[in-house]
Amino acid sequence: MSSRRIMDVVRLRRRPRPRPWGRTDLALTTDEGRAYLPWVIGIMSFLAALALAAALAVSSTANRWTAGLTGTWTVEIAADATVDDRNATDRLAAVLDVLRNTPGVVQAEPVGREQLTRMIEPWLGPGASAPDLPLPQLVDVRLAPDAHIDRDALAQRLAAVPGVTIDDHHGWVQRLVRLADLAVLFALVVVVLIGLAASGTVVFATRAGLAAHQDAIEILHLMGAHDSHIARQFARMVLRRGAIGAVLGVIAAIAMFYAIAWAARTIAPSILPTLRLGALDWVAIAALPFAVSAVAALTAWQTVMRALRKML
Amino acid sequence: MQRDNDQQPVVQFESVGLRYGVGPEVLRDITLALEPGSFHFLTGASGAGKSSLLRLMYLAQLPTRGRLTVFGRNVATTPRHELPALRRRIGVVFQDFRLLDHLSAVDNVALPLRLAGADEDQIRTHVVELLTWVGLGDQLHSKPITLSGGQKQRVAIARAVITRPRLLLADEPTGNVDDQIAVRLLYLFEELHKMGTTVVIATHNAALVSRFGYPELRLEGGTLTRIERRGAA
Ligand SMILES: Nc1ncnc2c1ncn2[C@@H]1O[C@H](COP(=O)(O)OP(=O)(O)O)[C@@H](O)[C@H]1O
Ligand SMILES: [Mg+2]
Repeated sequence: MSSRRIMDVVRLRRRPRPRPWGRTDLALTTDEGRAYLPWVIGIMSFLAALALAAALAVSSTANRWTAGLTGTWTVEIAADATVDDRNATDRLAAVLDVLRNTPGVVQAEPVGREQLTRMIEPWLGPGASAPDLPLPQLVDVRLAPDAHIDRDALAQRLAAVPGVTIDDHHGWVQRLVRLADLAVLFALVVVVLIGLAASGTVVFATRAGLAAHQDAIEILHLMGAHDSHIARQFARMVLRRGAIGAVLGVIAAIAMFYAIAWAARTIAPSILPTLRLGALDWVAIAALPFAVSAVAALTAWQTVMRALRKML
Repeated sequence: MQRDNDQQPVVQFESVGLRYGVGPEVLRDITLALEPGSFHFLTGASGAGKSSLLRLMYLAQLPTRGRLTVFGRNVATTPRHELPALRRRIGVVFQDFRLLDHLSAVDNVALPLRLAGADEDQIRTHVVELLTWVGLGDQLHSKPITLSGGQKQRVAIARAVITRPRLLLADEPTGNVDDQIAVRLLYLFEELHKMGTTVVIATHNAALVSRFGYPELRLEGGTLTRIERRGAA
């Protein structure tokens, strides 16, 4: 074949379409140091997911409690050693009478001694069921959803009976809400910190990769490769490896979360609340691996682009 | 972007100087215009600055003074993102080949085509044909590590010419092959040249220079002398 002929053959048909997910020119996958990247990303995703799940569980549990407590008051008649049983019954009847004749009160039911015993048993043990243990009498009051009851006026009317206090659960609910908010905030801070640490790791891993492939990168550069062509290869590699780590890490975190929830249920069912996550919480946790992978890939991309800008 | 004028020089040096760091000027007051479709040999002793001059031309290096224009663009003022388009019109044979070690001969040669977004089936035929022509038909899938110096050099040359660049720069491209192959490779450059490519070949080989008879640019003491020749073989 003549050289003329060969040069006729070497005719390039241009295709302007970019090939963003095309083949790789750099041997990034054979890099030794890279094997640890999925591990680092995986462990960090695990910790982040666990923090997030715990905070969201605390939050949703608090919300459940709050919802259960809003619209209910508890009226307590203190135990008094000086009053006998008949007197106690009278006092309860008087209280119920006042409550049931208060507009806005839907229901007022005394909490039976048996139920009361069960409630305090986890703290006091079997002694809680001792018949001579002085226990207060409690009345569960359910309010109409839009009721505006003057708590002080009601207290005054109940004052005829000694030792009566009204608990509208207000302080308790507020503290619970604050605790839940704090837990979520704390988890978000943890997630952000873990994200920063993961990004730092990706930056160093990428820089190591750039150094290892400096020669090949320079060749591509001199052949007219755009920076994005090179950055894409790093970003894609980090995305693939990061995604593996992130998915496995989050799955491990979910397993761990259920193990803890199960342990809580089995070991101390009445003291520890049930850890449960809402649908939206699941969405947040499921989004975590995507977010982690995306942040890792973007970080790698940025790192490469910045390094390449130093070349002519 | 400035239009590619057929008349304007492909490369133009105006009082260009180059120094590395705080060292002495390696190139001094280089003034040179490479007309489109010209063919030059670049000669000079080892260390005279041949590679440095080529590095300026293939946009690996900015001059420390003077004005360098490539395809009508002043390299010092051209925005960085427009340089890849210029580089794609330049084929380079590096003195030390600089093949990608993890890629086979075929994939090394295909690289510039892939960067340009050519069709994969076209790439395959053209690359195989060109490699066969330079005598590497039985080494298509060999990695550079298994190739001899001369074979690597031919892969490097194939990679430089595969896109039919407007400007071909070769840094001692026949240093590792015997004279017979050297002449054959020179014919390849000559074919490109006949199709309009501007060619600059740095070489030590005086016999080759006189055999082909193209003008010679001689580097000495950092300055460039042009030597015309007649009666190309
Ligand atoms: N990257 C560099 N840094 C510092 N000095 C260099 C560099 N490249 C080349 N030089 C010096 O520039 C001079 C010319 O080198 P070079 O262009 O490689 O010459 P040639 O290719 O003609 O042998 C030599 O003295 C060499 O030491
Ligand atoms: Mg040299």
